Amino acid sequence: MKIEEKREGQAVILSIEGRLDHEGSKIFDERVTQLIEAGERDLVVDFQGVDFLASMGLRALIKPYQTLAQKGGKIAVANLSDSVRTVFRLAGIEKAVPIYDSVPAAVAAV
Amino acid sequence: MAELTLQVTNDFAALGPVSAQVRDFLCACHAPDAACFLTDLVIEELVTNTIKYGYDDGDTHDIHVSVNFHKGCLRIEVRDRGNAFDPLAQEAPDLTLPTDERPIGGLGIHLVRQMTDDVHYERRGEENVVVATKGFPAE
Repeated sequence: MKIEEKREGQAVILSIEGRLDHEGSKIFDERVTQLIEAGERDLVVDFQGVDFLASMGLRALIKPYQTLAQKGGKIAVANLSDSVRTVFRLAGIEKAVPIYDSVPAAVAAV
Repeated sequence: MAELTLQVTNDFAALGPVSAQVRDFLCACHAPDAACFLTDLVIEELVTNTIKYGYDDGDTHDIHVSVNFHKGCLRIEVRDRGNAFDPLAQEAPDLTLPTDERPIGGLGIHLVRQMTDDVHYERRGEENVVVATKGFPAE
């Protein structure tokens, strides 16, 4: 799993390539935790390159959502495949972590 | 009926290569993409549970996984000789809680239950056996 980062205004865009399984989610969690500790408050996660997401991947999103909610920040996701979107819906987090059809739309919203 | 059988060691790093083998197998069976994703998810969640809770000795153990896809019916079986553990007995997560108050946990088995037609557990001798099934009607 690889993460590319780019800044757009106040937001940091994390583009993920690969699997958000147990191993991939650990890498993602470590990087997002570092960003939040460094003071970043607006995060956008681009799922264009994500072909698999398991519960560990959801936890790796819920955790920063909870942390950022306390710090006045936001996390949003964009470009979900149908399968990944189904997992979001069944886990009941699509109503909390906002989902956008494109990265620019997500950046505009955070 | 084609069946893929695999032995996975109780190491999280072993799951990535398993996924690739399972996807190749299902692709050869002309299974739909949704079946590939679901199989990947079921194996990831069940084997992860076994790695976390199955063993106390720190040794290497084999977890047996079998997958078959026949006439639109997907069947996934995961067997291990670890501690008796029924993953289906875990309490379902409370999805009515706001996300910022929700405990992080229990989601994996919740997803397996929601995404399959049937999943059941049985302690068979010294083995934990979990079988999940899902039908995919012809498109």
